[in-house]
Amino acid sequence: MNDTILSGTPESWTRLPVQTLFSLSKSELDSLQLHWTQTRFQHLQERIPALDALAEKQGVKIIADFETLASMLFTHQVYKNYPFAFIERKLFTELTRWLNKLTAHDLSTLDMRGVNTIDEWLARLDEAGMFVFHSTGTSGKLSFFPRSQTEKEAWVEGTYTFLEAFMPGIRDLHLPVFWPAYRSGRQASMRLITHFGPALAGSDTEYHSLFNTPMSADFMSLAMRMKHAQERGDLTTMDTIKAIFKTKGEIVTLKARKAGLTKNFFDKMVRDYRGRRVFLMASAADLLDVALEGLATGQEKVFAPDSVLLTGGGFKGRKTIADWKDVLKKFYGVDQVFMSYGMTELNTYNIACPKGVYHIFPWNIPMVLDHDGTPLPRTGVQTGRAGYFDLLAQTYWGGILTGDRVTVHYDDECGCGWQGPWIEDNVQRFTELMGGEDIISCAGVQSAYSDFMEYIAADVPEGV
Amino acid sequence: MSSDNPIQIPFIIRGQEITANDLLYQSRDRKVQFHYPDPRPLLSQIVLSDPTQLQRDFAHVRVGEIIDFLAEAGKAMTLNHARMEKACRFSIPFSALPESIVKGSYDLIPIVFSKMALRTMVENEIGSKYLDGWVEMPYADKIARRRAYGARTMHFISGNVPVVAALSIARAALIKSDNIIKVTPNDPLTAWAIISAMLDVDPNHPVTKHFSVLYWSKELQDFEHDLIQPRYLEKIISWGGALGGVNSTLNHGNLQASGIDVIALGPKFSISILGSEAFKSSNEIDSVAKLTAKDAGSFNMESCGSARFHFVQASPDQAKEYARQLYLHMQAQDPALSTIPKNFPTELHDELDAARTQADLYYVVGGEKQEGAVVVSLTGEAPDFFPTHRVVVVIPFTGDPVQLAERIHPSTQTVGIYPESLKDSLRDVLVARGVCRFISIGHTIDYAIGGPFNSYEIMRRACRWILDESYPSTWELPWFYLRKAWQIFKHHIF
Repeated sequence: MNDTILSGTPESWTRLPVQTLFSLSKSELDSLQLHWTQTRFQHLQERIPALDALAEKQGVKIIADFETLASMLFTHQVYKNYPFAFIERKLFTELTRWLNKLTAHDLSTLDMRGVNTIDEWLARLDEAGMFVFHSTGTSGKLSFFPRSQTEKEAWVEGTYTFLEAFMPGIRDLHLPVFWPAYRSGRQASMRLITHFGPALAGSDTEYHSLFNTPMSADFMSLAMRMKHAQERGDLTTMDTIKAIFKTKGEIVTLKARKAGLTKNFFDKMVRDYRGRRVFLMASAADLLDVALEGLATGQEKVFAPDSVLLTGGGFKGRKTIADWKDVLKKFYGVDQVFMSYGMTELNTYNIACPKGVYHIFPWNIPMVLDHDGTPLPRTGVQTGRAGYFDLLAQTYWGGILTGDRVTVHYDDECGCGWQGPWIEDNVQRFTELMGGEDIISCAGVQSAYSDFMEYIAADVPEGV
Repeated sequence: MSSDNPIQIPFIIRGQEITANDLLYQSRDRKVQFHYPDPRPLLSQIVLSDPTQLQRDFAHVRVGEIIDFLAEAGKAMTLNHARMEKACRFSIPFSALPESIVKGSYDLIPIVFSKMALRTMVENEIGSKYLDGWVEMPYADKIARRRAYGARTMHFISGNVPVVAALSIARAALIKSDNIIKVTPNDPLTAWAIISAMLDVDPNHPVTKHFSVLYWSKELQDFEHDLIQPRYLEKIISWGGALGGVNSTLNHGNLQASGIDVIALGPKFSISILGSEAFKSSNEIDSVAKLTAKDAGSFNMESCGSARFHFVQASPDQAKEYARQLYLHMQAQDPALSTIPKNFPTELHDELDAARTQADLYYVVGGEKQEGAVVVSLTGEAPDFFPTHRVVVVIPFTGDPVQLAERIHPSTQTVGIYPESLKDSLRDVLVARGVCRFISIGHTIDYAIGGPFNSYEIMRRACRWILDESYPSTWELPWFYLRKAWQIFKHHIF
């Protein structure tokens, strides 16, 4: 593989400029990706029991082509099919054993004594060199992606490369960072801000979050269960969840503190950083909440026009505001709203070009499957269920079958000058298309989490 | 049905058929579409604003006459008749069930409307004497008489199996109620076909005049609000949830507060509990699995009686053997009751694929295609997905089966139990958990028409039970005491 510009490992590609990454011809890219897929498979098959089981079921010994790869994708349930009782009954050794089937690391000797919560479990895994990302749990149950420190560097560099597109020179530049949500956490976007908040800001003090507390995986799990219970009118579950939290002092005080914290955050933005170039990243819903609140108090054009405002996630599960981008521009004062499309399952976001479509980094292999799971040809324009292989996954299996419906262009160029496959800006969840109930996506998570906190705190007398 | 030319769904309003292309229904995936009349201008005809009309119309109509009338109409409810055939043809593509089962289910409709079934239904569930007149109760100090009256009733029926429409209509006719039926988009014609058959026999019969069949979309919220008012309705019978989908925006809590009696049916699911006796030998496992396969697979699990979770007092190896046998028997069912499911959900398929990657936690038999599967949860914990489309979850347990009670979901309807002797120790504890029907394995779907339907007592609850009490004057007392003595003697001694 020395005859290509991407000569090293996929991890090393993440340091290359986007112009280089999107300059490969189709045949060059295909053979490079297939080579690395085979390498990953050979390296991981015997070390990841779940992958071995899939390979045996599919009768796959070698990944000879992309059709074979398409039959070797984990459905998203693979990362959350532990029995929920493991969490309810605090069986974290069993949960670890489940996770151990999904990683090439050996977790079998980890001591889970004293671990009583998901947060503690994830912390224990962090200490052991894992770097697990959890999902937003929109289905009421958290997924756990067994990333590790091995992937971390590529995740950081790949994300920098992604950010370069909006902010050239970002690796050497520091800007105040505003993040209208919890300060840190282990959910995918929380992992991102936990690292990039201080890193982009250059210091902890220039990283400004709405809340100073981390987002708890346990609370998030309960918030989603609560939301599901509410939708089903399941009062028993709601009462049980509420009872768990009645005695938690931190929740009680959060309600009292929230108004003050929000005001501080606003004041800081509007008073101390007015007119300055800043970096803002959050789900569109969260950004909009803050913007609407700000506009209502008569504030607008807060930051310098060349500030970076990066968002994604849409408004699934919430009412759409048609001109939401204009609302954001008006309040934050930015010239442009940058969009991204990504998912917990992939290390890096897909990058939107000036034409408004999403280009896929060469370390991600997009595949489109039809309703029956048959892979569609990797030519022309294909619409169907999206599958990806993430070559940055070195210690877990990078193949994932999503619930997203996408349209991928394999051959034609979008016109921005970049080569390689791209995705139209019309990604939809299949559950919505099938006439099922809309599930809330990342966009609604923050609000569900906040609603939950308020619901829990509602019965607690003021001043406790 | 071509999407360019959606079918017309007629309404029947109190003996009169109304057809119009006013409104178009389209499902989100566009697979179901039809035109239907705008119900808004029809509101005053749909409702029975004068409640005394109902009593006047049925004042001299006895249950026996109603049975004769329904049975006569029932003759035209076979698939040989154009309307029923049309209803069946329409529902086949949209039913979750394959054609053979849908047709089999339509064949039950004329049986529901047979004299024998109607008579059994009314006598077993209520007793026609309560519907035809006042029945005196044996009180010592007064004359207390009870009678069951029909009520002005709104029915939200489900479209999963056509026999729901048939049973709803037969019961409602027998108790002399006034009925507005809202059909579901996946079966908008069966109720129409049944009422039309009555219309042919006698459009002016009191039963016919007290039935309306219509549809409106959830978007017509103002109409729904105007219609569903305590001044027009006394009862709402709502089939919903897993069976028919919640086909209204109404909040049951609000309705109950308004004084309308809401009889909410569903969603429920069923389970099996198998004691260690079932696993004594391979032969025993096989013969038990043959019976539970019928409980699990019938109607391709579209029924609330389908046994989806099987709790087995067995070792993991025994549970695996049971799962293999169960799978084989489920693949060899009567095609009128169980076939390869239609539209196997991708999500469920993905769950099965995911389960296969964790061999310590789950043992999966089948499910490679769309045929269904049996999943053994080797940890003894229920997996989080809900089994449908002939996917059964087997949950092994050890120790006293009574301990299972804590794990029984309040939505559990029927519990199939083996061996029979296990019923005695389980019954009371399971009742406390919400279970309402116990049955010997292999018989979950053996509903006898006229027999008790899932113990829901729908007919009794659909009636308004009225009491008339009077006290004798002094000069009547001697005769009154004599009469009461005889009544009490007869009631308590014999």
